[in-house]
Amino acid sequence: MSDEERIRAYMRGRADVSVPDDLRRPTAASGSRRRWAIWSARAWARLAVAGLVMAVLVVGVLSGLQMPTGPRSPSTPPASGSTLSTSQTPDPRFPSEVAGLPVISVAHAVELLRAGKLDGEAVAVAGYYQEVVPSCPYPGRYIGPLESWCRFDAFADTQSDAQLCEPEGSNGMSCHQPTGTYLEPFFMSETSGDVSTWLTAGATGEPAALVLIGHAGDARQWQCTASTQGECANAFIVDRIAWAPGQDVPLAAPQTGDQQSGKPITPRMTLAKAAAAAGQGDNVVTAAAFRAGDIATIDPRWNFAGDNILWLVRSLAQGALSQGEETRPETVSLVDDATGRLIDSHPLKVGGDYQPARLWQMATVHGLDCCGNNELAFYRVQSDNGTLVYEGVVPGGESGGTDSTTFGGSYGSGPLVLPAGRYSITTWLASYEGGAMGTPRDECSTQVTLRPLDDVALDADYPAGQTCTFRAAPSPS
Amino acid sequence: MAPREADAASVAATFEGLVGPWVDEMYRAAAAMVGEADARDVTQEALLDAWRGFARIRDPERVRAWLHAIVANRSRKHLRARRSRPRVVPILDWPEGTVDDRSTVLAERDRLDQAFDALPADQRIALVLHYVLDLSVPQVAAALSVPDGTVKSRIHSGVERLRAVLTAEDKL
Repeated sequence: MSDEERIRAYMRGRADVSVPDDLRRPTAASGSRRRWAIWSARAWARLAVAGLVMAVLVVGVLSGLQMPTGPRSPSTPPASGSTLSTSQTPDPRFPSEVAGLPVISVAHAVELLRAGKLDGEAVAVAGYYQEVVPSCPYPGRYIGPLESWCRFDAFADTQSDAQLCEPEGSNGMSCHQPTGTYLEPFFMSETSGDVSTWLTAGATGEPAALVLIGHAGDARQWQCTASTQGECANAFIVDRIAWAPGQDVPLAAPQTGDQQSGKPITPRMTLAKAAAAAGQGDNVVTAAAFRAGDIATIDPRWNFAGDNILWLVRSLAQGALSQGEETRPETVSLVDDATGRLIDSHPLKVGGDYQPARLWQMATVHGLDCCGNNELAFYRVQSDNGTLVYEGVVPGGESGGTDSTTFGGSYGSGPLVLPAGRYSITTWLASYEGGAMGTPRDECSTQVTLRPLDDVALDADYPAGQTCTFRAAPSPS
Repeated sequence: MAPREADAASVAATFEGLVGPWVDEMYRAAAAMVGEADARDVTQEALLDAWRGFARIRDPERVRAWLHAIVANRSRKHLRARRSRPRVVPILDWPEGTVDDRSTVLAERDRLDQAFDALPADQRIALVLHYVLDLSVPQVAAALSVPDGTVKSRIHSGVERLRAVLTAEDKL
């Protein structure tokens, strides 16, 4: 046997191990509650985050917990069965102020949110957090980025209200949906730091005590369908975890990735330099680097194309808070990572005159077996003045069968959110490997006029061996 | 690979459908990278990462490569964090194959283990992706987000270190 063969045999021997059954298949119990095996001590410790999540996901659809299958209030559950606390101040264990913002209770934050006072406004909220992500059936529809689908989590004023799971027996857990008054925070790709570090507490995964800085009325509400936009507008978006027991959590740039290739983004600038370039200094609540072509997925009011790196910086309005002031308007800025130039900034709050259209991209290729081919469909969208507003793969998964593949149009296929106007659209097919596109083929083009609030789905139809044509398709609803 | 039937997209769009088929491979890759004693934790961490990043996956059919990258990242973090911890030496199972001298095989494997455990994390990961999962150099490069040349260098360096063990064994 050659050295190469011996080394290969040795390497394979290292991987010749038995996969623990409980890693693949946790125990399950019937009835109104569900029990899951916990994989290990560390998984137990991380239960509150999602140690439970995978166990449940791998096992399949649960019988006990009712899965959300349609729109529901994401952040502010109905008040039925609960009484809003009149207390505006949280448990004394929490700090009274973080990042210049007074810390308020969850109950009070819910009141402000319901009154629309958190739209584009930062607020610091103290509470206890626990999350359970159950297994869910395929939704059969597009799920917007701020829709609360397939998750149970609670950020509540008391540990008991946030406690969603308790140990049961020697090797299981029982979980229930949240009750009482709570928020459902959305930790996003731009949320400061490594979020998962802070979402767990203790060795048994009890709810984590946290102070969150966040806002509502996020512009990503426009990436939800028209029918779920209202729900998405009420989502509580976390800019930053500001405090965890015993410490202030430092502001840190999260690890972000190229949304098309999945490769990690490595910016040249530091967060501090990006903040300084944005002219915000100490007022920053989060800053993260993204590929320019992905910025629209964070703030759809900016439509860029290209692979250059941009920092998205959110900051608080400057100046001291006046007496009784609990929230602070946020500004969002874009900084070019290569040059340090401030590209643009605008209030985080979405203006009432912002009335964009949604353009859903699809492509159906006949003669191509679904799925998993190296071949993908691409779109390029240019505004009437020639500005490139999108260039990349058709987002979302693939569907179809033998001899036909449809790209986009279902789960994961977010819309382009564009100002009203006339646009040139070009599609093509190409291979896509390792983040690199192959030679384009079968290009075809059309023009569309989008009016405010339009919901337009375009399907580029590729008959086998014939020229592509565009056809209207039903918009996700 | 993920199912290719007519409802493949529906199945593939669920996390379970996408990731479930790869759990075994993730675990075995983790075992090869960090050792069996820690493979479970690394696999769990990787699955959590996968869940957190799931919504951002635009290309579900490339989930295997994506999971390789996640396992590699988790293994790298784990190996670096483990530097200061005591090493757990597992009791080896008897290697399969036709061997005449058991003591020689055990000695070789033990020395290879020592040499492998002494490799930098990046070399270990590259060797596993290449030799255990049979990924080509470009595929390893894509999973690790490094140039092809870097992968070749890591594999070459790792192999040379292991080859040195074999050469020394052969001289005994």
